[in-house]
Order: sequence, then C-alpha cells, then structure tokens
Amino acid sequence: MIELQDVSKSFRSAAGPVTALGGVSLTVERSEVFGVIGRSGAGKSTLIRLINLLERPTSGRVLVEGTDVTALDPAELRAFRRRVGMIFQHFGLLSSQTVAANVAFPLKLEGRVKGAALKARVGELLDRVGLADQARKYPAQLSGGQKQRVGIARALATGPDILLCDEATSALDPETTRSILDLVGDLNRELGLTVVLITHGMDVVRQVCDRVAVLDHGRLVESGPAVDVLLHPQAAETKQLVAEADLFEDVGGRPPGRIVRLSYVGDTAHQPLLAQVARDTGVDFSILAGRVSRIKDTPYGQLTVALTEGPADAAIARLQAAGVRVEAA
Amino acid sequence: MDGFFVNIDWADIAKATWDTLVMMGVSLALTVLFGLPLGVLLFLTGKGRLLAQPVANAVLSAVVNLLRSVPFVILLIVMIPFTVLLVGTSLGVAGAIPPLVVGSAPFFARLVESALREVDRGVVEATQAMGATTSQTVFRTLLPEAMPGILAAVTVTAVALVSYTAMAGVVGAGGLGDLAIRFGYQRFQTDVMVVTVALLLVLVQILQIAGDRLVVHFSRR
Repeated sequence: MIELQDVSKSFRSAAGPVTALGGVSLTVERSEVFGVIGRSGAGKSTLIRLINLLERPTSGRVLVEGTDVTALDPAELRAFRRRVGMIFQHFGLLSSQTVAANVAFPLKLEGRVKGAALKARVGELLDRVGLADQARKYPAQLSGGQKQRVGIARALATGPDILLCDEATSALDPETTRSILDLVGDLNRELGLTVVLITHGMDVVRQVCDRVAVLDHGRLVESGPAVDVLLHPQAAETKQLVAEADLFEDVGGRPPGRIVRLSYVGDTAHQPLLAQVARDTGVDFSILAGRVSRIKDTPYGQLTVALTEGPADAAIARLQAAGVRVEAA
Repeated sequence: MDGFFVNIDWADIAKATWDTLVMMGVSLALTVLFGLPLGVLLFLTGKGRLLAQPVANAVLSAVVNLLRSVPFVILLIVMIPFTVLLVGTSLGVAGAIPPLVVGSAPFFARLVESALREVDRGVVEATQAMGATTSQTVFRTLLPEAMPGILAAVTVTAVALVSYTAMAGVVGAGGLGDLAIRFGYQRFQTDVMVVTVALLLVLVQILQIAGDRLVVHFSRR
C-alpha cells in the first residue's frame, strides 16, 4: 500500500518558487493498477518520483507499507528502491551495455546474485518479456517497444512489489502501447505487482487502470474507480480530458424528442436491453453517439439516445430498473 | 638524397623521437590519472548533479581556468622550482613531464566534464531508481556511458601534448620539437626541420587514427 499524505513539492526557479504539487493525498491499494492522468505540467512526473524519492517532498509524508520513506537513511533508501521497479518514457537503458547486461544491472548493483544464478535469472526475465533471442544486442539495435520490454525486465530483476511507470508508453505507437500495457496488466495479475502509472492518455487508463486520479495544476481534482471517473467525470478538468479522448462525440445536430445519455456497466452490456424496452413500451429512439467497450475488465456501454416517439418516461423507468444510469444530455 | 639530408644525424633523430614518445606517453598517462577524477568532480559538483556543491564547484572551476589561462611557455618557467622539488631536475625529459601534466590535466578535465554532460540524464535517474550508490553511478553508469567521449578527449589531449613537448624544448627537454627549433630553425638546417616535422605529423596521424578507431569501437548508439 502506498499512501501520499498531503504532499507538496515546490522548486526554486529564477522567477521564484514554483509549486509542482500542492497538498496531494492519495492511497494506492496493494496489487491494483493505479493511474494518474493529467496534462503536461500538471505535476504527474513529480508525483511518481515522490514514491521512490527521486524527488523529495517539500512537505507531507510518503508511506509505503506503513514506512515513511522520507525518513529512511541513505542505505535504507537504496534497499527500499530495490523493492520498487521503475520504467521510463525514454527507457533509461545503458547504451554501452547489451540487453542482457542491462537486465543484469540492478542485480549487479545489489551484488547478491552472481555467476550462473545471475545468468539464469536474466534468461528468465528476458523470456518473460519475450526477448530471449535479443540478449546480445545493444539497445540502439532495438525498436521502441523492445527497449521498453528490456526496461520492464530490468525493473523486475530484483523482484519488486511495486512497479512505477513514468509515461512508459508515451514514446510508442498505439499498437506497441497496447502490447506493453498488456504485459504490464499480465504482470499485475500474475505477480500481484502494485502498479502506479502516470500518463496523459485516456486510452492508457481505459486499458489497464483499476483506479485513477486526475491531476490539474498540481492538485488532485478527482479520483476513484476508472469506470466511474471515465463514464461519469465530475471535475471540469476530467470532463475535458474525457471529451478530448474523443470517446463519446455525437453525430451533431439535435433531433426532436428527449435526449438522454445511458450508461451501463458489467453484464448489462451483453443484454439486448434497448431493443426490449423499445418493443415493450413502444418508444422510438435514434442513437446519436455511443461506445460499447471495456474499461480494463469491465464491459460498459454509453449511448446518447434521442427518444423521438412514444412514452419516454416509461422507457426511462424500465431502463433504470434494469440498472442503466440515465442522465439528461 | 645524400645532398639534401647532409645535416641529419639519424641517431639524434631516433633519440629525439624516443624522447618525444616518452614525454608524451608518460604525461598522457599522468594527465588521465589526475584529469579524469578532476573532470568527474567538476561534473558531480555541478548544478543539479549528484553531489551538487556550488562552492566546491566554483573553487575547482577557478583553479582549472587559472591553469588553463597560463600560456604553456610561461607555465614551463614558473614551474621550475616546483619541478626541481618533484623530480630533482628541471631539465630533460623528466623535467618536462610535471609542467606537461599540469598544463594538460585541467584541459583534459574540462573535456571529461563535457563528455559526462552528454550522458543521458534519464540513464542516471534510472540508475538512482535502482538503488545505486553515488560511486556505483559513477563507475557503472557515467563512465561507461561517456566512454566514447572520454576516449575522444584522450585523443585530443595526446595530440595537444605532442605540440606541448615541442615547446618543452625551452627548458632543454629534448624531443623532436626541440630538434626542429635548435637545428631546423636556429641553424637553418631545413632538412632537419622537414624530417622532424614529418615525424611529428606521422605521430599525430597515428594518434588520431588510433583514437578514432577506439571511439568507434566503444560507440553503441
């Protein structure tokens, strides 16, 4: 469990102190994938660096499994950092070392695993990320996705409980992003790894996050389960981010009738609900916008519908009774 | 041919070549020995770096700038008492080495500092995130990653030392440059001048080509 308690971070600059984070509190549960989304400059990268103390908070506490990491002495901090893996937007691989040497690097720093055991561990890690045949190559010879896989193998080498992902897919194309996020999701499930990721992409949140926090100008404006935050954003910043992700843009124009937004999650997404309700109540509808998809493992649908003819109220009541959330749109 | 090379004493040329090689080689080794840690310190104490120490950095930087701003010919003379104290003489090959090292180590240190600045900050941050100590970061990340740049710096310094050794003739150091000045220039023995300059050129070429090869060998980008 990771707990940020009222942490603030300000930097000194030529123009005076700049507040990167102002009084942020949040809790990341064990074995969940927690996303922090925000625009560039919102304070995301500062926030993730507070967890392994690459940045020290100006005030507030950072607790990991109940230990205040800001109070650790240098040796304890180094030992703690080995329990926390981190991957980076630009990978942070040693260009002078082979893939295998990069993965072995944290183990050599630690100095506990040596010789044949080290070699075997590196082989196992490369196998896990699907790069067993690339061990002797240098990072410059790999694609972006392969580099990030090396980064992941390296981050896992010392057997951490926590994986921090610093915009880990922002330099990758959509397809590669998907496969890297799949890998992160698998690791979360199989190893029970707690994952904290920062991103400016809603797609990333949608694909892997259990819970999400929204950061705007150094302040936490909203947080909760990804399904709730994405389908029913409350804060203005969240609404904008969701809108920009172009998930629910409608066809434009306003047909006659009542326009409502229907949201449903879970098993409801598989049922022919709208057709049933239309048949039973005799209401007519046209779909203006919609998406039926998945947020992490939760199927959902969100439709903007115009109820053009017939008993709109009765239809809405039926939908609500079936667990559909109905909002005026 | 005999008509042109009348003034040449090949034994002198061989001795001078050897002296130049010894002065250059020993000075280069000592320059790297002292300059490399100095360059690392200049880098590490710099703003926003691992051991950021504004005061220490300013002092180091000032000393380096001072030594670099003294013309080498002056340094040779100013250093004579110190040289005598150190190696017992201010003459000959041994007497030339201390000023050569003092003259080139600060130069080399600056080159090392800038090679280290070229290392991707992200790699250093990743190393920190893996729980590395400062010395692990220096020896396992910074220096290996900066290796091509450092080798290029060694090459530049070696070539610079070749021309410094020529000036060391002023304190009677010997070597090819000394021969060129005393015989080629002051006695108008053009053939000596041509031969010594040709040998210096060959030396510089060999150093540069060897250096470039090493840089390529260690570059993985």
